[in-house]
Amino acid sequence: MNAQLEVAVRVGLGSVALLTLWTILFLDWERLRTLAENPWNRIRPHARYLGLLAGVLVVNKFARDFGPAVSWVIGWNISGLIHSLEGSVVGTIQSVDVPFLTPFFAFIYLSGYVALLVFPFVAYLALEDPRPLREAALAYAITYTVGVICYVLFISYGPRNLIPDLVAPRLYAAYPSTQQFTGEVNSNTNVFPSLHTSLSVAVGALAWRTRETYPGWAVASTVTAFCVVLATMYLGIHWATDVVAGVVLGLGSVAVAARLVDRKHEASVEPGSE
Amino acid sequence: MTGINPLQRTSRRTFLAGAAAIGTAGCFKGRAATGERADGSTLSLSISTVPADADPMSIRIARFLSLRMKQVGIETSLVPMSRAELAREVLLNRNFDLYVGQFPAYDTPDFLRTLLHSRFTTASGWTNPFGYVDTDIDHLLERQAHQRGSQRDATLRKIQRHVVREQPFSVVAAPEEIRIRRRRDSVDWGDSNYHTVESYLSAARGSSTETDVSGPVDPRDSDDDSTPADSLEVVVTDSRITENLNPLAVPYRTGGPVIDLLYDPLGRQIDGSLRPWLAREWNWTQTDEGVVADVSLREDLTWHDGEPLTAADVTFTFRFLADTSLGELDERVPAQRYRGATTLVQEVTAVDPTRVQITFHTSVRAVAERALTVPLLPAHVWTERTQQSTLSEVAGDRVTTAALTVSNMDPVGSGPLRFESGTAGERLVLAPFDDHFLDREAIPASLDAFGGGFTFERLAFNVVPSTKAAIGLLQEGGADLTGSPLDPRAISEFSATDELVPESRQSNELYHVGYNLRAAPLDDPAFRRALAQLIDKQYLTSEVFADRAVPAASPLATHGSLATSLKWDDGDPVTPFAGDTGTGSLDVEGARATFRDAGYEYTEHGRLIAPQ
Repeated sequence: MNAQLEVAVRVGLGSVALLTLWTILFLDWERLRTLAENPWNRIRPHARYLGLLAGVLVVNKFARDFGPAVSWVIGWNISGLIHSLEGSVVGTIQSVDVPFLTPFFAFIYLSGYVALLVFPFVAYLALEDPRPLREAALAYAITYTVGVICYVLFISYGPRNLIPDLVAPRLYAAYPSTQQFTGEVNSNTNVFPSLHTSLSVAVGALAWRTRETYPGWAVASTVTAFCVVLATMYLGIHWATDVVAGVVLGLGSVAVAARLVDRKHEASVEPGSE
Repeated sequence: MTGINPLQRTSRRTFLAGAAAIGTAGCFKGRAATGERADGSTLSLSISTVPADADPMSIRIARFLSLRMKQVGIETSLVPMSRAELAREVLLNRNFDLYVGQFPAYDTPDFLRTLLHSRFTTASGWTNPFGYVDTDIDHLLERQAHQRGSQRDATLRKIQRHVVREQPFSVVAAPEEIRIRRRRDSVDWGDSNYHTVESYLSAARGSSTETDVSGPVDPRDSDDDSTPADSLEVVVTDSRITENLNPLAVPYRTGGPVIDLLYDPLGRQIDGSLRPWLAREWNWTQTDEGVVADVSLREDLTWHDGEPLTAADVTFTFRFLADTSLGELDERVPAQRYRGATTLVQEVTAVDPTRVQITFHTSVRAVAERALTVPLLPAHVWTERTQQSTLSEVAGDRVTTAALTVSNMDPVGSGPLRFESGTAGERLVLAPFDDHFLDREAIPASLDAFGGGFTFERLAFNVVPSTKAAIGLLQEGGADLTGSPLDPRAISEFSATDELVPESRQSNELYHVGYNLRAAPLDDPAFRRALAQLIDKQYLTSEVFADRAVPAASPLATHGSLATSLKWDDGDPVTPFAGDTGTGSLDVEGARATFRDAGYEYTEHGRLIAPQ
C-alpha cells in the first residue's frame, strides 16, 4: 500500500540520517576508508557468524507468519497476568503528557531503533579485531531466537490493547499509517519480551565492551537505548514487565555471545596475544 | 469450579501435547475458565473478549465490569484474544466464565430460539453458548415458531420478560454502525445501505468512466491493464475474510456480505420480503405437520467452476448442514451455522433435476422462509470434506469434520461474484461471475436493480489495522468505502465533506455480557442479576460509544416486539445500576448488599466467598 511504502521510506531516511551523524561523530576515517576499499575482505572472515544471524532472521520471519496460529493452540495467554503483576506502571509513565514527546519517541522507536541496530555492524566491520562484530552477530541471533520461542509460547497483548482506558496508543493515534508497518514486523500478540528493549540493551552492552575503541558511541548508544526503552512504554506498546524481560534477555545474550566468542578466539589464537 | 469437567480437560491436554511438537505444550495452554481459586475459597472469574485493536468497545465494557467486580470483592481477570479465537472459545469450546461480545445480526426474532433453547446447550455455534436450560422458555420458544402477527408478538414479549429476569446474558447497548463512502463520479451507488449485497449488486457505472482519474490507485495493480475506475476498493479492519471463506467456519464469519456474494441461496431478503433468487418460483401448501414448499430452480444454473447446479445440490446442502459427515462418523456432526434454518426443515426431496419439495416442522410460512436463505453448497466439492478433522486448531474432544475447518480459499459458489485472488491478512479480490443468472436478459422485476450483476471488473477488500488507518486510506483515495463499522470515538474527529459521506444505521448486533451457566455461581440467576447491576449502561453508551448507541435491556431491543416493560427509561428497567446511573460510579456497599441478599458471603478482607 502507498501509505506503508511512505512510512518505510520515512523511517529509512531517518535511520540513514542518524547513521550518518553517528558515523561522522564516532568512526575513524582511516578505518572507514580501509573498509570501503575492500568490504568483502572484512566481511568474509565473519561469514559464518553473519550467516548464522541471517539464518535466524529467516527462521524468525517464517515463525512470525505461522507462529500466531500455533500460539493460539499451545500458547499461554499472559496478558492479564502481566497486568496484575505491574498494575498501572505504564499509565503512570504516560501521565507525563508533553506534546513534543510523542513525535520524539515515535522517531526514536522507529528510526532510532533501526539505526541503533545497524550501526554496530558498520562500526565493528571497520575494526581489525574480529570479536566485537562476532559478538554482535551472536548476541542478535540469541536474542531473536529466544524472542521467537517466547512469541510462540506466550500470547501477550500490550497495555494499549488490554487497558485502553488507562493507556493511550500514542504512536498509532498520532501516526495511524505506522501501525500496518509495524504489524508487518511483529504481531500485537507478541509484546513479551520487548525485542526493542533487548536488542537496544544488547547494543548498549556491546558498545560498553568496546568503549575504549569507541568512547563516544558507548555514551550515544546508552542514551539512545534508554530512549528506545522509554519510548516502548510512553507510546503504550509495551508493559514494564516486557521491558524488564527485554533487559535480562539483552544483557544475557551479550554475556553468552561474549563467552562463546572468547572461547573460540582463544582456541584459534596464541595465548597472550590479546 | 471450571466450565469444563476435569476429565475432558485431561484428554484435551493429552491431545494438544501430542499435536504440538513441543513437549511442554500441555502445561502451557492457558485456560479462560478460571473458576478455580488461588487460595481455594474466594471467587475469581475471567472475562474473555477481544483486544482494543479488534474492537475498542468490547474491551472497555469488559474493563468497566472487571473493575466493578473487583470493587465487590470478586477477583476478575481479563482474557483478551483474537476475534476468531473468541468465537472458537465461546461458541465452539464453551471455555469461558464471562465474555463481552455482540450477537450476530438477525432477520427474525426466531434467532432467540437457537440462542436459548435447551436442546442446543451441547451443540456449538450461536446455539445457546450460555448453557441456559429452562423448559418454560423452551415451550415459549417453540410456540412462537408456530405463531404469527400479534399472537406471536405476545409470546415474544413473554419470552423477553422471562429471559431478562433470568439474565443468561446482560444486554448492554444497541450500537450504530458507521461507515464512510467516497463520492466518485464513476460510481453510482444508489440508495442501499453501505456494504451490503444489495448495494454492491446495484452499484452502477456513473457518467464518466474511462477518464476518471480520481479512482482509487492501488500500487499492487501497477502492472494491471484495467483502469482504476473499473474496481471498487473497500477497506476493512477485520482480516478474517482474507484468511477463510468457508461459510461453515464459525470463528471466521463476520456477518458481512462477502459469503453471500460468493454463495447464492434459494431466496434472498430484499426490501423486507423474501424473493426467489436461485429459485424461479415457489408454491407453499399447508399440511397437518407444517408447511410445504415446492421450489423450482431457474434453468441452466452453474457453479463458479462450470458444473451445473441442480436439485441434487439443494438436497445435498440441507442433508450436509444437518450432518457434515454424511453418516460416515459415529455421531452426527451438524454445521454450527444456519442451525436456526436447518432445524426447521423436516425433509427435502428432489422431484426432478430442477425441482425440490421441502417439508417444514412449522406451520408458519414466515418462519419457514428462513430455511430458504441458507447458501447452497456444491455437492461435488463438499462430499470430499466429510472426513474427521484432526486439526489441532479445533482442539478439545469435539468431533469435527474437514467441512467445518477447511479455509476454503478457493470457494466454489454460484453467487454473482467469484474468488479471484487474495493475500492472507491483507487483501481479498473478487471478480464478477459471468454466467450468473443476473446477467441474463429476462430477470424478474423485483430483481431489476441487480440486472447485470456486479458491473465492475473487481471488488477488492483491503485490510488495515484501525479506524483511523481506514479513514486515512479513504482520504488519500486508496479506497471507495469502509466496510467494517468504524470506531465511534475515532469518528468524532471526522467531519463529512463533499467527498466523504458517512452513513449511520442502527444495528441489532447488541453488545452484551454473556455468562457460562454451566458452573456455580453463574448458574444462579440471582448472582447473574447482581452482576448485571454492576453495569452502568448509560455511562458506557456515552463514554465507550460516544453516544452512538442506545442502552438496552432486552435482546429484542431494536425489534418491534420489544416488551413495553423492558423499554429503556432513564435506567435499566430490570437490573438498574447499583450506583449513580450515568456516572459509572458504584455504590460499593449497596452492591455488596445485593450479593449478600442473594445468599453470598464475604471474607473478613471483603472478598466474595466462592460457593461450594
